[in-house]
Amino acid sequence: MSNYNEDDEIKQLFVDESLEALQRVEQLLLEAENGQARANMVDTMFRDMHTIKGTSALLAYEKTASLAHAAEDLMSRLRDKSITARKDHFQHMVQVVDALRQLVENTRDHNTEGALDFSTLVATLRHDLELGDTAPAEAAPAARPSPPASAPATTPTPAAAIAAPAPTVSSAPAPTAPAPAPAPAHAPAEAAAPAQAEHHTESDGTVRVNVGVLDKLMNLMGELVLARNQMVQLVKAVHDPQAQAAGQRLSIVTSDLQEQIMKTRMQPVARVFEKIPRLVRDLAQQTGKRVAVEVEGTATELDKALVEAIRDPIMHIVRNSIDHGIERPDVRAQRNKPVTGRLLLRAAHEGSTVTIEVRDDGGGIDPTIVKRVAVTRGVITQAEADRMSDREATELVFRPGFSTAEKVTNLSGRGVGMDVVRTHVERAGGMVELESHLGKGTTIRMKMPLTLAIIPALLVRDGAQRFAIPQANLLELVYLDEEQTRKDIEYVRGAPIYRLRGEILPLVKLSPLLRHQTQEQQGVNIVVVAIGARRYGLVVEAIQDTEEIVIKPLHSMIKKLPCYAGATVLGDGGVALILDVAGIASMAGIEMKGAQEFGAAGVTATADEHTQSMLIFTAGENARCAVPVSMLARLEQVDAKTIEVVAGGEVLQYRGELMPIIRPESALPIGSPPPMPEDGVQQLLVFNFGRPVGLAVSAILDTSEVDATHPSDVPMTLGKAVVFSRTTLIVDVFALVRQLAPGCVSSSGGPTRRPRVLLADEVDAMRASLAGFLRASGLDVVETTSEAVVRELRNHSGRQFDAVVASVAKGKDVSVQVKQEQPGLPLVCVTNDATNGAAIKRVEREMVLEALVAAGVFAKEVRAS
Amino acid sequence: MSIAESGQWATFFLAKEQFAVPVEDVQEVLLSQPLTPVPLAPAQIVGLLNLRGAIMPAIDLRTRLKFEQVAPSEYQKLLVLKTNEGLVSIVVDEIGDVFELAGEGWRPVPDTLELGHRDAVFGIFPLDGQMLLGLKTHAVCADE
Repeated sequence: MSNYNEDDEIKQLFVDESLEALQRVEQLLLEAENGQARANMVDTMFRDMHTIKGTSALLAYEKTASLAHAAEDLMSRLRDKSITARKDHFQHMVQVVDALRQLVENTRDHNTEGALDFSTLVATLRHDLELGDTAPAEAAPAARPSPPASAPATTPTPAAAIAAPAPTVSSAPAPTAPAPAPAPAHAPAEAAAPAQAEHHTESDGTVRVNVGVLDKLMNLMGELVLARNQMVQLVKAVHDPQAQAAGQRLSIVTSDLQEQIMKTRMQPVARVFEKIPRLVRDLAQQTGKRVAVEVEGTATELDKALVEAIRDPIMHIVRNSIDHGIERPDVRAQRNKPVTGRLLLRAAHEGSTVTIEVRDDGGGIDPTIVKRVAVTRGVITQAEADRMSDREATELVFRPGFSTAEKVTNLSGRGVGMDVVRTHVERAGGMVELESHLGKGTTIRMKMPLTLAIIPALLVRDGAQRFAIPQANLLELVYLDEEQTRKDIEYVRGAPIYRLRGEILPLVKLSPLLRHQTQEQQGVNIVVVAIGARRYGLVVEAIQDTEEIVIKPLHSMIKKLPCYAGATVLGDGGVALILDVAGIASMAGIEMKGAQEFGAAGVTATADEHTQSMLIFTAGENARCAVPVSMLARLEQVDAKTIEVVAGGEVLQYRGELMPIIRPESALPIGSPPPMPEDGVQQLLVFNFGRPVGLAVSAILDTSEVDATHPSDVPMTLGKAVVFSRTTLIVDVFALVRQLAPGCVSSSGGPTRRPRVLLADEVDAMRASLAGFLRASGLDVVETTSEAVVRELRNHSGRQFDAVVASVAKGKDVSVQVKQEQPGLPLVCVTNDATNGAAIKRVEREMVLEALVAAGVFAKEVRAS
Repeated sequence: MSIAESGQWATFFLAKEQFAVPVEDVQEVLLSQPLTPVPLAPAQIVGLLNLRGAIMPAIDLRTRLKFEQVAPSEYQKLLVLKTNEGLVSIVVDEIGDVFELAGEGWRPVPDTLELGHRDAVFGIFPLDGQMLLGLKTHAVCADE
């Protein structure tokens, strides 16, 4: 198994040790560059260089040895203060670290130091030594930060190197400026990094272990957990107290052992975080930006494999932040921001997950630009862009083939983008969230499990077999009995949905997806799962237990199926497939479209301010119609044959009563009703304005956020709008029902007379939106502008208004005029400005309605429920 | 140049044909095992099985080689093969003898062999009155 011979082991040790030492030195150098010198930094660097020199000389890695030697000499002189530390010394050291790392990595990967030549760099260091404190500023041969590998292959003498200093010295800060002396006076800097200090000192209590051994241990641990699970079940079956006691002890010891082995694999996120300052420094220099990095929670630990898994995503996110997020200093100054941008990396434990956050105070993501770019790159269509909320637009950056950089730079505009980040993180069992505030910055949050190999999972049964669903994806379990199933599962365009506390949850039934048979059953088990911000309900036959499972990879013939994340051995020795929640979503076709449209912008209150969620359907001769979702009581699918004709009208036996069925074609000029569908299923929209009434429609298409409605001359409509690129009539359901089934409109409100409200608002879109809502709620609304409000009141003096709803924008406050004109008339003021205490925010349409109810204008029962 | 090396070959029977695989590729033989079906997987995968904690697919060579299907017998056996993708088991009717075969005895697949076999067999070995079919393990046990 381990083919390490002694030499290999020594080499491996050298590589590990050296890379670690280089990391440490780099960290110190960066701190020194930022002016936070530490007391013993030169000392530490000296020791590290000394070790590298010693070991590499022993192993006959000559280039490494000579470079480390030169660096050691310089450090030694700085340490005994025979030379005063200058900034260029540290810069040369940064190059040394890069060079040594390259050499060591070559040694590791190719077993040789490679053809790189760093003699120029050695010469530079020797030159530093020779000059000592007498260094005249311009003579310092500050080598360019370009790869030293490009130096001439022939070994130049030190003299030659000095004779040919790179002409572009100016790129380095003036070497004359003495670096802050490594004085112990910088107490804050030291105090700021206690965790790191602890990380650095390798005490006698630690042992180096080959990673392969740890991996093997972990695998064995997995086997042990499975054996334990099996044993526990067996022991349960035999009713022997002694066996049970032994089983219990085995169980406890296994858990403890598992925990301890997990610990051996834990690594601090510092492993990734400590590379960031250097990355930021280089990127900032390349882009001409100024960025200060802050790092929090570096001691937070994660499984080694997960630390590896987040490395690339974090690097990419940081690149993005600097490239696209943080603005250039001049732009920042214009925007009254501190010239130096701030990048915060934070890691923290949250229960059994670790949250890793990368936050910048840059420009944020502009949804308009994102939309435009997405459209030009063909990621979405213009129509899709038009009906997308800002939040959805921001999420577009996660789509494949997306990059928001206006100009493609060599940093991040390389075609790989946030979609890769998301894929990587999700593959490792984590999720990514993005939060962006235009002008203020962006936060990207990754939630990772603590460990990969052994995870808690929920076991479910579907068809004849069991499946495991990782707990990390699990939100909750919902059981609907037969009655609730019939009542609460609705179908939109043939796709089942369930309203979970008001939020529309798309449902995916597992059995048809996996094409296996399930038993007929009465109730429905819904496993509510989440992938990032998206969620859906997975319908399975039965919910079983939770169990700790060990993820086993699948054979490549099965691996390409997106619905499985792996397999596991269960306590009884059987095998269960682990479901890939994201894969199932994409197979079911709800990943991008469904979940986002339904979830984020559906009927929830998070929808955009001016929009209203509408149910889009067809009726008549393929006419597109819409009704506000808020007015709907239910969606039903019934057998067309069950609709009876009674006394010239159609009715349906519905929940124990006769529900009138009306057809929009009878009142709307949309052509004649289509022939009955072949499957004989009639789609019904059920409304309840006192008594239920069913509106028979041809097909239910979708829900959509509808803003800008235009006035329409068509009777029984509230207006028209363009939805999914088609002109769509917004049906005035209340009027329709009142005309076609007057008995269904509650008598308490008076079916023939609706309260009349004068709505005065300057902003057309706002007025139209609010008017639509009020009408949909059963009010008769007359629209007007603020200027015309008094005239309208007088004009309509014959037909009294029951109330006035007026916007009270600054300088356009008509409330005084209204009060003068018709004292005592209920007046509801709306505004855009929430600070206007007396007024209701215009977008809070429900509150406007409440205010009208409170003023006695309007009886609550009239409202659609 | 022979098409296979000399050495020991394990054989098994399937639909009256006798197949051969190198002995060192065989990990063990299992009696009928409970299999967990994998919905949506390619047809030749009859399921997953657990061998002391290792999960491997069981491949139905009958399907793969387009042989006539028979009702699964409870006497069917599983031959566990070591492949570069890990363990894979194939469902066989019966286990045959192990033969010491000389490399030069292998002959190319005759053109008369049915199409279903062709890509799964690298050669044939005539052996007193019977014919061994040399199984291309990687061709049947990997993603095609």
